[in-house]
Amino acid sequence: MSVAAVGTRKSMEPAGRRFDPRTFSMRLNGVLFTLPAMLLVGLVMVLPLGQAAYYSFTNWNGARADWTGWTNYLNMLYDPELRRSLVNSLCFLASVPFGLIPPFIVAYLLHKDIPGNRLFRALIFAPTALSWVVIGMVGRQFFALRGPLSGVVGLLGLSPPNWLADSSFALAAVILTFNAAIFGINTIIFLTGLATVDRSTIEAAWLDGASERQVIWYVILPAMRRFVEFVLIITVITSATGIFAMIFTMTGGGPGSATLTLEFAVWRRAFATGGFGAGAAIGITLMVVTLVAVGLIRLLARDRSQA
Amino acid sequence: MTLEMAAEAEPAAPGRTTALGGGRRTAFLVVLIAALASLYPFASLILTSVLPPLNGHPFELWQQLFTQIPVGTFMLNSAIVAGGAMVLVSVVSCMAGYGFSKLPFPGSTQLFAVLVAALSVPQATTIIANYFNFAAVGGVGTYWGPILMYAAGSTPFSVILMTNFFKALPNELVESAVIDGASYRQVFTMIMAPLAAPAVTTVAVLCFLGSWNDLLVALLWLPDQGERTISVGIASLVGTRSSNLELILTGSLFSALPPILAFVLFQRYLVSGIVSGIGR
Repeated sequence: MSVAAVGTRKSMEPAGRRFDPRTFSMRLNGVLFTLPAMLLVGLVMVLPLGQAAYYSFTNWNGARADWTGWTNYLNMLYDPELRRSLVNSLCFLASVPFGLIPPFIVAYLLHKDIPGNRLFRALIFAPTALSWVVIGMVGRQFFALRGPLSGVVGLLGLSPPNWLADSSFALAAVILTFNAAIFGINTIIFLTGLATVDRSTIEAAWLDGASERQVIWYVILPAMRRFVEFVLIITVITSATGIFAMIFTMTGGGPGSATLTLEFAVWRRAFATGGFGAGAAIGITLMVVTLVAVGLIRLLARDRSQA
Repeated sequence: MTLEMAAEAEPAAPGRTTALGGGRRTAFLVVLIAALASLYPFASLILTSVLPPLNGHPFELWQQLFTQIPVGTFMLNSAIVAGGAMVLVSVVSCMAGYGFSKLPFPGSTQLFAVLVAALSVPQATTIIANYFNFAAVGGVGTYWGPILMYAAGSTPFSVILMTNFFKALPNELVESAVIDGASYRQVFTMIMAPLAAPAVTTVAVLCFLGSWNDLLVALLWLPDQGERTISVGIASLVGTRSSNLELILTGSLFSALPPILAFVLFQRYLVSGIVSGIGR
């Protein structure tokens, strides 16, 4: 067994300086097989990223691009609309616990062998099949002037506002819709994680007299830490970079810029008003904000596992 | 039978019947509420689409949808771009996964690192430069433009998934076939690619769903009525017929049918694909 493994290893590794036709053929084929994928990524991701970084320092309007230094980035703080979009994106980030805690609770409860387990699981996962366009439309109807929510509020004897047209409610409505929409997928990922937790460890904790809360906090959560981290990261990334379509169909970023996120502001600045340099700077800011958020999560997750 | 029922009726003692403890009745209720709430979007879409509009008759909205909006063309356009991207990314990522896992070459580790880094480049960050690049070579207003955009967008994730899949296969598979005189290309087409069918299915379904459901790229690349995808067709109704939200919801439901079908058929592959990022 080990001899065979060593033999294989030797022939898989590059064979030093001496020319070996088979190693050469393997390397050549390696290059050729990976080439199409790398070309796609190079031309449609790496190159445009470089261009975006360059244009973010210009006032590019589609025809001319004059160097303007950090102006576009300073505008993220001074331009009221862009500042609003930055704040709104941070609000989305801050809402992440709402996208995580209910799914975890439901996944935990589902993991107990309750009757109808499989059916419930399928039902909860089902909305994941809907696109953000459709989710935005459903949200638009839910919060409509004569929609279900207003109906319920009306029954309580209150006069409902026009949620999505009211700048004090619109952002909350959009954030709520987002967190409701990711409920299913996050629940399923948590369930996958719960299935990996060793039952005997949990049973040992029960026998030691730990309370349910203690078991969750000290045994289950640490054991599925990677899953929690994963859900946290994909939720953050989706909220920051994946819901253009939901905002487009639900509010269009409005009223005014009440529900404008960084992601949506790229489109609005660039393709609705022709500010391509400014749009590029918003896009780069979006990437940096997302990377910082993800980096922080990784860092915190590592700290907790070491402690 | 009666014994089983008696066993079921017995209250669950924490730590005995289930490792996770008792409170099954509360658990059942909470999960039931969550499951019913999850049905809300479907109930909302279906009810809205079949209930009669003001002064109308049931199913009138479906009739309006098919007579007033070219939904057939929209669906076909969606099928072309999503299908094209799906095929392209399946082939390209399967090849690259084989290359990265079984045919290492100088620099392959670094290239793979580029792919991992590309995972964190948001679509919105590169969309402007991409739009102008594609416009410069005549890729806007064509099907191949969005096909390349979608395929490239899902390439990093797909290649990483395929590479991990092939890495789990023994190197001897390649080695022995090559010693027996097969070329590396034959090893791919006759051994590796057929073995990779489940992983390719995962990649294909995820790419199809992502492309079918996309709005931003289709909105910019295919703005003309005849080329619109169903997502763009439905989304652009918002501005023009905002008073008729019911018709828009009917169209939304119609647009969601293919992804729902794919979702139902390939659910197993979806979950495994989504959580594949955790194992690394």
